[in-house]
Amino acid sequence: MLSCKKAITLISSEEKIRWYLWLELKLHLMICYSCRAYSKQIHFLKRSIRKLIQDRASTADKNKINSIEEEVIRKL
Amino acid sequence: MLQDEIILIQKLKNKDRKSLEQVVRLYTGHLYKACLGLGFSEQEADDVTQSVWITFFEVIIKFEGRSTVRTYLFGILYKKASEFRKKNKKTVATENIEDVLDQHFDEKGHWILSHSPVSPDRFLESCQTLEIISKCLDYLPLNQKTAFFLKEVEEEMTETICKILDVSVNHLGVLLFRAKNQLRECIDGKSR
Repeated sequence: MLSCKKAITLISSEEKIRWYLWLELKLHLMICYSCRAYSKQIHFLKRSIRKLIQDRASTADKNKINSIEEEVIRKL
Repeated sequence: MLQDEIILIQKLKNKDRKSLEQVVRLYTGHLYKACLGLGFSEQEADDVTQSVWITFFEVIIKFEGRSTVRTYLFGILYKKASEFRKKNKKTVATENIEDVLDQHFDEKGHWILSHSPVSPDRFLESCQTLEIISKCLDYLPLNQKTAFFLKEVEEEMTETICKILDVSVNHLGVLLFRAKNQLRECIDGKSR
């Protein structure tokens, strides 16, 4: 039986996990409320941080970007 | 790499004015927006973007063409951003995330009740609170933040991210693992 500690490592791992570990993880999540919560948290945070970064980038002012371009080209 | 890109790089090396202007117009917005995304102010983003170009023009002659111009520029951006942060802000010593995680579990590897994750609903509420998530994002060390940015926002390939950050695939995995857990820890902590 997978421990919670091992389960969360698998959830936030970047590597593709082997099929039998994947199966173990699925079974673990079915019975473990805390790890299920953890998994959802990771999902929510990825989505929210992505949106935050995109929102920040979208505040970029076109005129400002133009003036940086001119400045850089002037210095060429 | 595309034939066009190879020709472009050659022209840049020959200091072809038209090509230099072309790349400046093509990538300045991208670099500037990336700086804003990483949490730099407008003035800082302006300074960092300009210093990226200065360095790019200095080193273009040595560019071996092992990556695209875009990847190369992002690599310089990452270096400039790190230098900038080091100069202007003392880095806050944070506890090692692996140690923090260890404290959540008992000797059998089960969650200790008082440390178990807050409910997803509560967590999501915090995620939707701008002050909370922007603060948590800004606490992240620049290397973790940039790794997360390139992977989740720019959706770059692993190989490209490794080139930009100059790390191995293994180390990138560690950075992303830490970024996610550090962020989760911070948001979870502010949801209690």
